[in-house]
Amino acid sequence: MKVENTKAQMRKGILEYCILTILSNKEAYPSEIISEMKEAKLIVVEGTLYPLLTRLKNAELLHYKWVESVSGPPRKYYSLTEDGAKFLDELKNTWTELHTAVQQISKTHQK
Amino acid sequence: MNKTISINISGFVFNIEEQAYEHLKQYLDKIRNNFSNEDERDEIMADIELRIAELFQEKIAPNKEVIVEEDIVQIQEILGLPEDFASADDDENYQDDKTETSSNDNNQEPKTKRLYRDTDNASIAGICSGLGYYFDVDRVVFRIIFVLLFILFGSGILLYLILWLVVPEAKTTSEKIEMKGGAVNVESIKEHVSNIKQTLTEKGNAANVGEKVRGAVDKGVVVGLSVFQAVSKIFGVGFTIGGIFMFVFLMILLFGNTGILPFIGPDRIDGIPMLIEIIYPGEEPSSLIFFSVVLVLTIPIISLITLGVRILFNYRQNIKIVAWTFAIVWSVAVGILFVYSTELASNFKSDKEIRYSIPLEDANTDELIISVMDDDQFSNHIDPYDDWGASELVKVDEEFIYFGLPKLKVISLYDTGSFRVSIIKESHGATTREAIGNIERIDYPIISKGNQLFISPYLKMPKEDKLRAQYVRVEILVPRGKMVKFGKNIDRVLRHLGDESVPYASHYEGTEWINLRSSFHPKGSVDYDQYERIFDNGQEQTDEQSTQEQED
Repeated sequence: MKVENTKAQMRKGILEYCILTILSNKEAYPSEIISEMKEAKLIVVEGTLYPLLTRLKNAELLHYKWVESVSGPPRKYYSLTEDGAKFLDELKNTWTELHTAVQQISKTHQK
Repeated sequence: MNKTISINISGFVFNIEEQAYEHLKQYLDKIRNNFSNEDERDEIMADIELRIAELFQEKIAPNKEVIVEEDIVQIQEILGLPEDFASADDDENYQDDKTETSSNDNNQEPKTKRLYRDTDNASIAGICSGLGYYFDVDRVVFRIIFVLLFILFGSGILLYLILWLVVPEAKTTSEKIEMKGGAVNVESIKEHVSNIKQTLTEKGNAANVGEKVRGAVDKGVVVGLSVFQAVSKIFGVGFTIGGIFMFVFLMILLFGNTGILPFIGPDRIDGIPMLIEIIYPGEEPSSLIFFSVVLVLTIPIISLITLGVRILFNYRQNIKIVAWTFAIVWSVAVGILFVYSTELASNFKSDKEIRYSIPLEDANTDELIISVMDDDQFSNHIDPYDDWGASELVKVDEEFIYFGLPKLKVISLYDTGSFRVSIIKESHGATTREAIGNIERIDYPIISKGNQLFISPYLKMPKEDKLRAQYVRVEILVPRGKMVKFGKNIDRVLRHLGDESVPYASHYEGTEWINLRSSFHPKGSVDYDQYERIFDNGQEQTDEQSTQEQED
């Protein structure tokens, strides 16, 4: 078992959660989402994001609208659907539970 | 100055350098390969292209109108490697390590390795070479295995023929790449072709001419050539196997203990070096002669094996130096042997025979009992016709050479009178004088005690005299009407009784014989007096004549 695989799996679930969170209170186009995530050091390259967005959109958790850009091609502005909002709520609960659980276990077993 | 291409990404036109374009195209293709779901893929690719267009837009400035290689590199840094796209692909990829790994493998070019016959490096049909690629082992290993299989069980040929029938020949480039276990794609084919080009260039014009000739040569010639090749292979196999057998045989001859060559083996003369030592004149050169003998015999055999192997495996290495060395060494060895054998022959030039009379204590006895003394050097139980005879009956110690093969001749006389015994000793030598010296130094005791005669089972000579064909013969002359009785171990030395030579494996020990007018008869089978009377009456005349003849 490679640590890279585990990391990737952990990150993958969190990525979806974070994308949904970013989009929960505003519309955003990919570059914006990416720059936020880059700041949080969650992802390093944009490549990772595009397939995720497409899949979330196909799962009808996200939808987008085209917005003309001043300089260059039009941009896809993503936002949450109703389903997406519910989905995010569930994820939030799960995440809180998980976070608590992980924290507790890590504390108990530290040193 | 660089060529530019104009491209359309997401409805926007960009000028891009050709090299940068190639780079970008490869990059996008690789990303595209990551996605299996077609609808998803198109959409994702559209998004990515859109983003690329956006990034290109940022790169373009009033004084920079063209996208260059460096821009592509920067875009790759932003977007990530093709693999980074894959890591966010289908959920299935995350289920466990296995699918992850296998999907990774799929992302790389598929690698296949198949068994083909490699006719480019073939000795016969390219089976061994193909197997070599398949198992990543040098093809020579398989060739050796096949030859061994052929020698040992004969099954190698059958196996080879089956493989020949079953395994396809690697004809096309992709088959050749598959044979070597590379992935078949545009790059590997390019590489393969460029390798071929390189070899062709190395071979120079000859290869081109070869190509043309090959095109022109008709099928008949090709068939003829392969028949010739096959025949030469058979010769190769023959040479190799024959050579190996000869070599083994020679080793047995030189060092073995099987008794193929006389004088060798335990309790016999200690191998060829000892043989040389006791035959060759002088002290020092026995090892040189031995070495020469070995070289003279082994070099042709090794050459034969080498030739066979070269034919068999199509080795084309230049072995001129080795060949010349072999030839020179062999000639020198032959020369040495010639010189020494000439010298040796000169030591056998003269020969001499001397007869010694042995006085008997009781020469007038009616019956002489002849026995052989105890053999303290060899054995009391040797029949000279056992084994191969003489070779087992030569022995050397610090001082003496022993030769256990004296000959006894019991001769019937027509005359009446007394027993006479003589020893005839003979030897060769460089000169008659030397031969006589050798004879005089032969020690062969004979003891007369009353009516008993004890003769020695072996002769002994000083080691310095060397073997010069020294022989000893004992002659016992039995007068008419007298008897002989053969005692202990007589069969070891008895060769002639009367006119008859003693047959192999006969037993005369303990027998008694009477001489009736020049022929021996078993004692008691005929009454002597009666025989004399009959003989005197009828054959007086003839008897006198033969007496005269004998006296002559």
